[in-house]
Amino acid sequence: MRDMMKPAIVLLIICLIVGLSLAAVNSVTKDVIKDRAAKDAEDKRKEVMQQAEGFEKLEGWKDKAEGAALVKEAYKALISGKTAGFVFNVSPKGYAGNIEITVGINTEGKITGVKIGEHKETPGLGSKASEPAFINQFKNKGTEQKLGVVKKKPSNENEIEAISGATITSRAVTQGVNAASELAKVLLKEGAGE
Amino acid sequence: MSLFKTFKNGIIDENPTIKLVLGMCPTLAVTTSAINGVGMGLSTTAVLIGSNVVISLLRKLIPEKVRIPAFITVIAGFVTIVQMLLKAYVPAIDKALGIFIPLIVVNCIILARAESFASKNGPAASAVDGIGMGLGFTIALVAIGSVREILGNGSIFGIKLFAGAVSPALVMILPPGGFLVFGLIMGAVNKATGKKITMSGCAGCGGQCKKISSGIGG
Amino acid sequence: MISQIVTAFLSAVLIENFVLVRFLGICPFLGVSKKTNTALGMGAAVVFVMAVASAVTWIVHKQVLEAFGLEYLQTITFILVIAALVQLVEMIIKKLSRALYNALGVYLPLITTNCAVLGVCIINVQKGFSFVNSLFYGIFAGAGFTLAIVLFAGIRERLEFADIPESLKGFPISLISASLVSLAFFGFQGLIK
Repeated sequence: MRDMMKPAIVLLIICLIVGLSLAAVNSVTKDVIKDRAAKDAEDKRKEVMQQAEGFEKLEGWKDKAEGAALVKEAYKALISGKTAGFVFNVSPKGYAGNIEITVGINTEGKITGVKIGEHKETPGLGSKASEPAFINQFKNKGTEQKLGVVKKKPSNENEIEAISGATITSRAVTQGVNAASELAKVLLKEGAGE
Repeated sequence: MSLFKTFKNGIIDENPTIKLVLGMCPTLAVTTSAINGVGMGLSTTAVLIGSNVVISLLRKLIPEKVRIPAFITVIAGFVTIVQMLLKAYVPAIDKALGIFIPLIVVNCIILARAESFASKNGPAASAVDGIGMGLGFTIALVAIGSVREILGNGSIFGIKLFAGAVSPALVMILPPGGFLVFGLIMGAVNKATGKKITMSGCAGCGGQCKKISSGIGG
Repeated sequence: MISQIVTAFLSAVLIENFVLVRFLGICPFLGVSKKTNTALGMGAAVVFVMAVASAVTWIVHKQVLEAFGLEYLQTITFILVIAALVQLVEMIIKKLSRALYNALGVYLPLITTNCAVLGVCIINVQKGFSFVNSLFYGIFAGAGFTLAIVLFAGIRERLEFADIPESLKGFPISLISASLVSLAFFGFQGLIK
């Protein structure tokens, strides 16, 4: 019996010590990780709406627009206390898993910026979606018309040129931006009196 | 063995990746760029040094019967610490390496060194062995990562080469390129040294695992 | 429901094959798969352990780690659960059927350090799968692993008789053939929209 007990106790003690040291490290890093995540999200919002001074999380918009299911979070962008526009986190399904996108739209219904966050698209093809050549096409586009993807140089205002070899990714990003536009239109109409 | 010899052993004579063929999964999975190779290599080195030293210090206290579970516990502890520190202070690396950070636990290199070195040598020698083996692993990963990044993305450490004149062979940073580049590098090392790699690889790891099961069974 | 299961199956086995696309479980893939028969045995053992490990770690994660806010102990708990589980499975099989033990027994100890097993458990949690989903994902991922090692064992059997440059013999040529198999699996990308 003695022979069985000693190894078990030693193992238990090792587990306990390791567990306690992990708890100690966790208590230090937990808040750092949380703060960093919050700051990253805030930075992304700033990037798509540079003039904004602050953001306020919006609730209760879920069923207000078609395609709103793609929208994960909505924020009101503020300049000296007044609404300057909206920022949305959308997450459409791309070629491989969901693509996290942040979209900024101002009160004039123009897109102020689009930023690609985490994604699992093919490196070198779909991953080009985060490069300026593709993503800057969305800038200053209006929310009036739905945007569509074309495989040639765009000839209309509402056309976006696809990344060559990654049409599915291009469509997914555009679909995400469209969902944000739809919701922005609804919110703008509602908040016209604000 | 002198400390310097122990150090050199890990980098050259018994390079864990090229010579012992241990830890294949991270070797192939994360080497899509040179910088990923650095991140994975150094993370593994940190775990290796920590676990080697602690296991060496505890080597006389741990009963034979629970040796392997005790080793795994210590290794998993260090892996988790590295994971938390990366998440907090170097989130870019954490995102790039993803699931392969927790999977350092099952990297055969670490358990193999605990078994065959740290449990038989003092803490100083074990630390040096950890550094040597870790750097050997890092160098191999960076070499593979560099080749794949240059051929597959036309860049090195993120700096564009060729000024866009050549369009890179994308397949090199995709999974097939990983297998191909690693196979060819190994072949080149064989050719250069005139020696054939001994197939210890998973046979070695299998030996470890045999002990793992008997260890837990008591 | 049926179509969802079929889609999940195809995706885990062909499109996101654990070995050839996700690079999990490379060690046994290169080390064990020299004969089609042994490869099948290893595959069966992995499917079984992955299914059980997926179920058990899911419960442990939900009922213990999440319930007490101990998520940071995930790696350490999972690997110990898997190690203990492999041991338990080995003992049970030994008791139940001698024939089954003789067929699978030798592969079981190898599975603890197979990163595909720990990998599938972590992915289940990361993706927030339900219990049933996790169980199915464990089985399907194991099936993908089996397909890869059996296919590859067939190729390795042929390689024995091929005329290969001296310095590429052994591991290098295995890796190069693995590259071609992996390239072939890329053809399945886009199979499911």
